[in-house]
Amino acid sequence: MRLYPYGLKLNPFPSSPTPSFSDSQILGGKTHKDARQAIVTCFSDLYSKLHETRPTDRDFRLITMIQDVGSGKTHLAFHIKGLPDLVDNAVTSYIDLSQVSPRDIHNIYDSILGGFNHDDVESLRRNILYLICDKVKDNGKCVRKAFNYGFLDSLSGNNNLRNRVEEILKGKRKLNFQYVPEILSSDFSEIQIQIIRSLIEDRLRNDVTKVRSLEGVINSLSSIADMNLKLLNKLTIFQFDEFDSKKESLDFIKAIINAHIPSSILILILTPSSYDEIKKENSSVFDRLEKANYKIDLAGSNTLSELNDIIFEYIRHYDENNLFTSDYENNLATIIKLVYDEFADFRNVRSMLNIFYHATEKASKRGSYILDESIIDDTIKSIYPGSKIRGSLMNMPLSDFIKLKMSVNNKETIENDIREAVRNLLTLTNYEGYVNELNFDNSIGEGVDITYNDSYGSKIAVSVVIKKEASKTQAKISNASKSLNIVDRLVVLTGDTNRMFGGSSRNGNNVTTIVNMDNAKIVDLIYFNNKYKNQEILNDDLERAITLARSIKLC
Amino acid sequence: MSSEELVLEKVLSTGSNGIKKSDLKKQFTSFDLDQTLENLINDGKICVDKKGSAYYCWTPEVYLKHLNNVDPKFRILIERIKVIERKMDSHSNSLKDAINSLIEILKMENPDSQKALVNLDNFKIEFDTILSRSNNSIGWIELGHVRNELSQKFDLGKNEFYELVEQLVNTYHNEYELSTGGSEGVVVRGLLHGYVRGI
Repeated sequence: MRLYPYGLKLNPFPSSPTPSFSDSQILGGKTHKDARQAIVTCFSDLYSKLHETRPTDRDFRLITMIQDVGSGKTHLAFHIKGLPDLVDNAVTSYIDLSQVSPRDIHNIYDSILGGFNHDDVESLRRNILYLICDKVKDNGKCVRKAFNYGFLDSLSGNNNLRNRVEEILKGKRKLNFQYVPEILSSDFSEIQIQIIRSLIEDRLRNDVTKVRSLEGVINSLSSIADMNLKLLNKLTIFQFDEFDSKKESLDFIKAIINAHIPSSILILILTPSSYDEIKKENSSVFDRLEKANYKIDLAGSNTLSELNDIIFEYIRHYDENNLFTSDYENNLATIIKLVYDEFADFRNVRSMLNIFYHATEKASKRGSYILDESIIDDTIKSIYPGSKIRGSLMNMPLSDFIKLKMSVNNKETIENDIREAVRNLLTLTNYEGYVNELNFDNSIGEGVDITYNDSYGSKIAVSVVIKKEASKTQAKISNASKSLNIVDRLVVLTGDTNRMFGGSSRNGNNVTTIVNMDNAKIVDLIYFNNKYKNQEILNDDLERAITLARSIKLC
Repeated sequence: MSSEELVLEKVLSTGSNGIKKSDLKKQFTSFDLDQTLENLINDGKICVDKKGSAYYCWTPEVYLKHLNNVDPKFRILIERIKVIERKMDSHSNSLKDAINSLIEILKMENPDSQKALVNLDNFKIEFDTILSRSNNSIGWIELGHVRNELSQKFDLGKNEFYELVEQLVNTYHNEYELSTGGSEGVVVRGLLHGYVRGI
């Protein structure tokens, strides 16, 4: 049997770009869990109010869920729909408005009906039939006629009515609906009886076009919500995903909010930009959204801790034998942090899960028990071929980057390493004709490490000041600046991020250029130097090295 | 006093009428008047011209006034020259203004001059202040709006603003989050992220 890392029997991570219902039953991350709790609290609050009282238009709740694409909104919506705590007490319709086109009232209504679970619809159908069956005590004649009870059936009393219900549910028999309005008229409205007919005859979605107006749709939805409560003792949740500023969407949602459909919760899922567009497009709807009962805040849904938690949650969910130990967890956390820090593009749930899905597949094929940096590196290269480490020009593998990044933190050696790398980089650029007259001896003055002439014949001095205390850094730059009487330009390579941004200062006609090198540049230089010393600089590397020299203002 | 100085003093004292050359000859007999006059003419200090049947000496300013009074062609020419002069002055001022404006623009576009004014730390302070002032209930704010507000504080171009935003969000990635959409912003995963908020 094929095994996956950490002894898992299958790949725990979702592979589709949008969540599937089954994947969404796993919910990781504190932010997402807090959001779930907020929705459950809202639900419980409303449900408890309706325990023994008839619902009124006060028993409606509006929830907005606003966050960027790929942050897990749809996942959360699916999760809520399938949440065991809610499944027993709620009927949920999930509508993806991006799939509703043209967005007229019939299509939206049809999507709402299609958004209910089949089981919920069947439960409603079953309960209605049994309710009609139970009405035999009050209206025996009509009930028996509705169930097409014959003379022979009558001989056995009403005992066979329940069998008839089951036969109808299995499609073996049909209900004679002409008697139903009389049976149910005292308990249900005319619209509800229409819906009940469509439901029993399994034509609920086919009869959508019979509803002629938006008001009719709203009344139908109210009727359904009322029946859900009356017959199933469940609240109704409408989840509108991809809610946007299109006029049809706004008109529809405004009508639903205004209707205050009793015993229902409306959840609107949208992005901050849609929210902003709605503000500009329709202030009336925007004002209603602003007054939502709950604003689900997924702030920080793409932070490192959240992503860690989500990734671990997937693994733990399938880790039946508890093989994913804290050591593995710590190692994996280091890799996640690395990807998070160095690849700004992957700092969201969707991208990160995609990488880990493919990495897990790759690890399984290689027979690796863990996910390590070389697997992640290969994965990123194969599924995101254009990606590179943030700020890196040398296109180094992630595994090399990890090793070099550690050496960069060594304050004792880093300055000399950088000095050597700059010398070798200038030697290479000299060989390629970009600079000349290199002088690596400190013959000009204190603080200057290298001098050379650029392609315009200007004399350049380079001073490397990395990882020093601020006062020492400043002293060295001051000393080096004295060389400006002799050279045309002084380039100071520093790693001190507290200095003013880049910039130049002028001394007469001569200029000091401060280059603040971030970790990516420093690692790039060390990586280049290693390759140079090992004589591994190939054509592509050569171009990248020249670009690197330009990026730190050497040529 | 030299012969030139003596003659010049005499010419100056005669005012707008000038002085006859023959009168000068009568007065200055101790030196060669013709040579002295020639020296003064060559130095541009006096002008000698015929008025009626006699030669007169003037200072250049007085001579111009004289010509202006007696020679209509000269007068018209002078008027025309004055018009040209006024136009030249006006164009020269416009040119001067244009050059000054250009210098200002160049100063503004010179990255070295403005980057020296902004660093990540003071940019962050101002950026955070604007985010905290946002009256949006969900906390998201358009980056374009932040840029407009910050442009009153810093001399920052659009590209430089977004460079700084990118650095800010990368450096403090647990403090900010970006969202897609908007008309301007930072490109992440090929998507324009035009909204920001503090976490």
